[in-house]
Amino acid sequence: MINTPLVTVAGNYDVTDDIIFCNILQFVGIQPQLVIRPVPGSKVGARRLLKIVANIIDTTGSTGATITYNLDNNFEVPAGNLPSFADPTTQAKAGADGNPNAWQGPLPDTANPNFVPLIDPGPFPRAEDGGDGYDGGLGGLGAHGMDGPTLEIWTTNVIGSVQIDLRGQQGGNGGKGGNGQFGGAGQTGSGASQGTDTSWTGVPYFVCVQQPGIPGDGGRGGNAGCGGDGGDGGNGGFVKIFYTSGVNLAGLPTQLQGGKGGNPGNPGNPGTGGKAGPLALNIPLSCGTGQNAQDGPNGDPCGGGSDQKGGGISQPGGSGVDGTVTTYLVKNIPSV
Amino acid sequence: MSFVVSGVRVYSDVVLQATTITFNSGSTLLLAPSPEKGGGPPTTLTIIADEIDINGPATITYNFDGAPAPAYDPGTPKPPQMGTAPSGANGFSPPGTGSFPQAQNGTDGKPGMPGAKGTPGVDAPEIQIFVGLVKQAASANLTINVKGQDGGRGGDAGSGGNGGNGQVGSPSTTSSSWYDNSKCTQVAGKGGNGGRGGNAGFPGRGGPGGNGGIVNVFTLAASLPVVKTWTYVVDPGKGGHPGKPGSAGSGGKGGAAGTVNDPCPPASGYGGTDGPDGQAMSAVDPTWPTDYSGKDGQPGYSAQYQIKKVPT
Repeated sequence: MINTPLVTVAGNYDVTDDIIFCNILQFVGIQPQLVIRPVPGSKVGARRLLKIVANIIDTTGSTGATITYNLDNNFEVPAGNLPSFADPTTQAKAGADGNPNAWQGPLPDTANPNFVPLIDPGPFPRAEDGGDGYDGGLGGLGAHGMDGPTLEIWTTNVIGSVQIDLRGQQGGNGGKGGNGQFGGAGQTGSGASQGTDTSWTGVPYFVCVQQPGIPGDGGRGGNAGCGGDGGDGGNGGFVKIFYTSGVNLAGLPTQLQGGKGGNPGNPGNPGTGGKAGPLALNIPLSCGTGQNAQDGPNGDPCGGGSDQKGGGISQPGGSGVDGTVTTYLVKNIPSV
Repeated sequence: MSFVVSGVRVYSDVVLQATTITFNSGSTLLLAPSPEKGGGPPTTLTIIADEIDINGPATITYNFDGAPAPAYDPGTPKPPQMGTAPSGANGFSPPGTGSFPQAQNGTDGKPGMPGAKGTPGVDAPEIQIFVGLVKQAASANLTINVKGQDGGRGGDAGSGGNGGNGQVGSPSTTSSSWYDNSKCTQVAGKGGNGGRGGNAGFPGRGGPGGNGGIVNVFTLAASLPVVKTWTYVVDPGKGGHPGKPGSAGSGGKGGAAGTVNDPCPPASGYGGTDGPDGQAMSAVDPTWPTDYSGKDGQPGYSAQYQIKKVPT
């Protein structure tokens, strides 16, 4: 508990106590902020209450005085143009990226087996298929936005105006999904062989002794990992103002909207299907043309639209609930 | 003005001010929404009293979701999500025999829909008490139970659709003439590959547990030892269990090779490849039972302070 005659808020003034008793709470300078920070030893996400008992709240020596909070212990870059690193103007942390996450740049991560064309032809009648790529991992859940704290103010005089910004924090975005692995290339088909036979007129001719083998199909590309679910937005804070007769309540405007939910993480990229193995070279005419193999299909993308395919479906976070403000007329305020 | 708590007395405002507040033995002051007032749950309560009389065991607790007594929110989890999300559609299986040289592949099954999120447990209220004098019978005690509510179980997910079966390959064709034996004019076609099974739907996440409440008591010096004997329950609620994930869809069967007519060569190896099964949840996220459980709430705290003057 802070118990002092004068509390002066200039710049960012962090408060880790849960009770302030003072005669004057004074804001000075440009955009002074009283920032409600976690009580020492408490965990992130715990409820937070700050009680301010001040005979006088004076903001006449300041512009843009604010009471706000930063309970996630982070100093993210603020959203928009607001010069504040407090939770109402920042977003909770994004979820972790999905794992596995296949490299898809030069020399991409490719499944085994992955055959080199025309090298080491496969067995008859059918060569080995390329390996199927693994799927990308699911992105992590975005962090829950911080709930606005409860602020209880007891006062007998408000001079000027201080904005109470206890909006719920926006939920974190889901983590990015991992990329699918590329499918392996199919094996080269086995070669054909021919012999000779004789027609009833005694004329020799070539016959096919063994047809060309079917090459291996290319492996499937791995599915894209879905983005993680967005975190829920935080709830707006709760403000209770206990005031004596004549106090200018208009000097204590509030912003208590619930935070928006985080967006689902971006999906990873699907892996490309492996190439079909080629036919063997030099197939005799008597053996006709060989059967081609198929390229492996690409992995499925992940998305929430009507055309979404494999890999599951990620969801956005829910919005937080708006907070409320209550005012209550008393004859006098407590003292210590 | 006096305020008497007998039996279970529901209170819905955020401020309770009285000259004397009396708790009769076995009574409960229950914070709960009041439909006639049209307001939401009273998530905070400030009690202002010159005197509090406690005549026997008594309780202050809350019931925001309407569960029947005596299991109010601290003792009852949020209800589970009921029902199962839709399953993914099965892949298409092309009918009949396909064209040469390659019949059509079956299409992939769709993933199951995710289960509904479990309902979050309610955060317990904050209770601030300003009291001048506390009179408490020898056998009496006041329990302030603001444990966070446990989260609800998540919903069950849908299953992935099965992959479509590959189409049967085209039959081989032959010709014959008076001067030559029958000849194979086109070998049998390859069967289509089976489609991939749809992935299992993700389970519904368990609802997070509610946070424990905060209780501060401010009183004059004479009553400070008494309020320190009260029982303060500020534990967090536990996270709800996740729902069941869906089952992975089965891969479609590869289509058979086309029929072989003499003297065409055998078509061994011409069958389509079976499609792979969809991914089970354990493959997508091996630790899903933990990852999809609701997070536990955070504990609250309680404290007692001495003041010189009680507000009125």
